[in-house]
Order: sequence, then structure tokens, then C-alpha cells
Amino acid sequence: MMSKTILIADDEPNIVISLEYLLQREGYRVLVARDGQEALDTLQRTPPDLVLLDIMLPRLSGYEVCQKIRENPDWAGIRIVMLTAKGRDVEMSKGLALGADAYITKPFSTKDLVAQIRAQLEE
Amino acid sequence: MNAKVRFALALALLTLCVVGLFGLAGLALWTGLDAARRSVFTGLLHESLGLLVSLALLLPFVLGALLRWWVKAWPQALVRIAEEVTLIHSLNPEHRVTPSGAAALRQLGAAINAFAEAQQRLLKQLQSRRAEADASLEEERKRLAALMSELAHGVVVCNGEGRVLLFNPLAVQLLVGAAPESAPARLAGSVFELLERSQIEHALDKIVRRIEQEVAHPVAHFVAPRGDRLLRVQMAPVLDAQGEIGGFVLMLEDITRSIASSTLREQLLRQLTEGTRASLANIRAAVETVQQYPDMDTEQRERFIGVIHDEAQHLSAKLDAAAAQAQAPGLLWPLEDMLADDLVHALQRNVERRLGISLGHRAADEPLWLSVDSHALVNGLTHLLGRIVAAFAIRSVLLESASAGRFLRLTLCWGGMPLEPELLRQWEDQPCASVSGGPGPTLGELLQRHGAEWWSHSDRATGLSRLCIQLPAARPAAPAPA
Repeated sequence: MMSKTILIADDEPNIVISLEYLLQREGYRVLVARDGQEALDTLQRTPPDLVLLDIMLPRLSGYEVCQKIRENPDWAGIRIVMLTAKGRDVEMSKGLALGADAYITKPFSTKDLVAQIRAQLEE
Repeated sequence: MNAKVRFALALALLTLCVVGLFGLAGLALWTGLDAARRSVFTGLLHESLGLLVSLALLLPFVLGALLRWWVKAWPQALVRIAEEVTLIHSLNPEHRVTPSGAAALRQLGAAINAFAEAQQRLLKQLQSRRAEADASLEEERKRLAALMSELAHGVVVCNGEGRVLLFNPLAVQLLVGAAPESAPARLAGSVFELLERSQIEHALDKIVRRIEQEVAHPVAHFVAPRGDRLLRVQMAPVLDAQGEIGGFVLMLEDITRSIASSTLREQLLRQLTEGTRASLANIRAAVETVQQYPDMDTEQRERFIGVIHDEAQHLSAKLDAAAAQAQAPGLLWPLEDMLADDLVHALQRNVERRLGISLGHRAADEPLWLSVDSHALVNGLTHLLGRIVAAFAIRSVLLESASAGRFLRLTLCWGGMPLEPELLRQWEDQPCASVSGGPGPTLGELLQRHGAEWWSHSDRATGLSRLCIQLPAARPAAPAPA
């Protein structure tokens, strides 16, 4: 079976190091984008199965990336997990209203994150 | 015609009348006599001719004396009484009528004098009571002014039309901007010259609604920019005997420093929480990954240790910066509870007045409460609607309000082009135009003050574009929609 592809859209290299290693070890193919525009470009080239999306991204915010993914019918099957330090209820509500499938606030447990990703990809 | 000529004419007329009467009497007598008696009568006349001529010559003098006496006793006396009464009531209340003329007129003069005495006594009593009332009022004013000058708030008392009736020195300082010792003695004129009319009218509208809703203390608050300062204004109604608003009291407080301090604290708190969350996430992910995969090669392990070290240093630096910036307790932007329907009602009226379009409303099923700076929010949303109307050339917008968990979601819907997030971001940084024409807060600042978020999206199936504004509910609302 082909491994699932996950795009990590985050501008913090320290979290990317951990997530990239963790997800590769879990058997996923991992792509990395450092800003919102790069994330959209990567999506055009190689549509992933799931996007781990930070909100505070340079150029285009995570909210805007989420909105653009949901506006494109070709990307309807892509799961979006927002992974962010923005922990206020109103921000979480906005993320889900814009079409995110899950909203995880930093700091998080890596086990819970992996479990959430697995659950999203199995749905 | 002077008095002498009038007197001479009257005398001549009187003399003619008397002579005429005697002539007529003589003629009647003469025609009734026979020839013998006429002869006797003529003889008598001839014998008394001298006496009769003398009497005829004396007659005008006798009549003149009688006429003079009568004129003095009646018409002249009456005119003098009238003049003296005029003098009493118009110039000199202490003057009295001099008794003169006929006996009846002397009685009238005495009665007028008695009436004038009574009137003067009453007037003196009234003046005395008025002076006492004025003194008491002045004392009350001084006591109230002394009390108000001790208050930590500026106080302005206005009548129903907004005319300033009473104020304290701090109010002058806050509204005029002068130091108390050099401040002008009075805040003259209308309060609308001191504060923005639309804010006061909006607050009065809210108070009227609260009185109708039988709220125990129907007061309203708003924040008024005054130069480079921010004033928090509390308005309380002054009700008349019929329970109608006969005026209002404004309590003013300078919150510039508190707001600046709280804004800084809010930013600091946000930086600290979000920054800490990110660093902690990085450390935790690195530690858990190292623990989870003990077979990790040395080079990889070194990278994770480097991440932990790096993030620990970031955390220390953030904490040090936060401690250095720690401020005195601040004040959150003053918000007050309001029913969502009342907010929408105020927005509809403002949109109709300023943009000339009608804003339809589809309300939530249950009453929802919000904590808002309603005047600023209504102005901001009107400004936003003006932008949308101008950008997409639309004449009809529908506003839906619905509860969404702990939030109220206001959704503006229109048929046509969607609002791009980039454009929304540009609008966020631009100041809203206030009613007075001056720049208001930016839409982004308004959202931040209210802890709100907004986003746009379009529905391809229905062709409707939407802009959602999510505001925290003041009380727990319905559960979040599934």
C-alpha cells in the first residue's frame, strides 16, 4: 500500500525537525512548506492527504491557506489539522468554521497528534 | 384744545342752556296771558328792567363758579387719582393717593391707599421669601459644588435638551483640557459642543430601552476620544415626576493611561502565551520523539538536543522580557452588556441613516447577550457595510445572527462577488470613519477590543457571499452547532 503524504506548513524549524522525523518514522511521506504561499504551491504540485497547518505563517496566514484549500473542489479530500499556538476559543472556532477538520493547540502530546492524524486519514 | 378753552366753551354752552330755558319759560307764559295781563306783565318788566339786566349779567359768573367747583370735585380729582394709582403700581409702591375732590372720591382714595398698603406688605413678604429661597439655593449649589469638586470623576449635569446646568472643575479639565486653576469658570452652552452628539444620542437610546425593559439601574457607558485622551463616560438619566427623562448626568473618567497599560499587558500576555506555547511544543515534541525512538542515531539525537537547548533559551529570554515589561494593573476597554437584538436594531437604524440601504435581519431563536462598546461597534460595522456596498455595488444585505457555542456569530450575506481575504486584511488596518467625520479606531482594533474574529467565505451553490463576525457572548449561549 502506498504511504500517505502529509504536508507540514510551519515556519518554525524546531517543530518541523520533530514533526518531520516523527511522521517519517510513523511511515508517512512528509513534505514541508515554510510559509503559506509555499504551502499552496506544494499543494498544486503534490496534493497531500493531510496538511498540518500553522496559523501564523508568513505571506499567507494559515486561515487563508485553509480557505483556499476548501474553495478548490479538487482538494476536497484533503484533511486539514490546524496546529497552532493560537489557543483562544474564538480562533479555534474560526479555524473550524473555515473548514479545518481538527484544531490542536500547542503544546501537544506527540502520541495524541499521531493518533489524531491516523484517525483523520482513516475517516 | 387746552383746559381754559374747554372751560370757556362749557361755560358758554351752560349759559346758553340756562338763558334758553328762561326764554322758553317766558314765551310759554306770554302766550298763555290775555291782553290785560300782558299789559300788567309788560309794566312789571319795565319797572324791573334794571334788576333783570343785572341778574342776566351776573348769571355767567354764577354758572362759572359752579362749573369750576364741579370740575375740581369730580373730573380733575378722578384724573389725579388715576395718575397716582399708575404711579403706585408702576414706579413707586410707597406713594399714596392724596384725598381730594368730592366726598365719594375721598373715600375711593382712602380705599385705594388701603389696598396699596396691603399689596406692599404682600410684595415685601414675597421678596423676603424669594431672598430666603435664593440664599438656600445658593447654599445648596455651593454645597453641591464643594461635594462635586471632591469627586474623583468629572461630573456634568444637563437638561433634556443637552444644555449644561452644573459641572465640577475636573469635568472642565477633562473636556476643555485646561489645568483646573486656569480653567474657564464655566462650561457654557450645549454638551453636544463638548462630546460627539451621536454618542450621547446612542447612550440615551440605550437608556430609554432599558427603562422600557424595567432595568433597575438604567445607565449607559461609552468611550469618548478627547484629543489624545480617552474618556470613559457613564450616563445616568434624571427622571421627572412623570418618569420621563428630564435630563442626564455624565460622569467622566480619564482612562487613557489605564487603557494604554492594559493594551500593553494584553499584548504582553498574548506574546507570552503564544510564544510559550510554541516553545513548549517544540521542546515537548523533541523530548517525546527522543523517548519514543531510542534507536535514533547520534547525529539525529544531537539535533533534538540542540532544539531543546535552543527553545529553552528562547523561553528564558521571553520570560525575562515579560518581567521587564510588567506594568501596573490596567483596565480592559470598557464594554457593557447588551442584547444582540438591541445591537442589531441600532445597527439597522445607523445603516439606514448613513448608507440609505435597508439591512434585513434574521434573528437567533433565543435572546443573546454580548459585551460590547456598542457605539464603536455599530459605527465600525456601518463603515464595513459601506465598504462592502461600494466594493460590490449591491443594495441589499442580510444580517443573520446565531449562537455558536460561547459566541454570537453575525453573518452579513449578499448576492455577488465574494470578499477576498487579502481585501479584508487591508480593511482591517484602515480607520473607520466616525459620524463626526474624524478617524475612529481601525476595524482590527475593534475586533481586538471585543475579543472577536472575522472571516469571509462564499457559497458556490447558492451564489451567496458571506462575512462572519464572531463575538464572545456575555452569558453562556446555546451549545455549538454540530
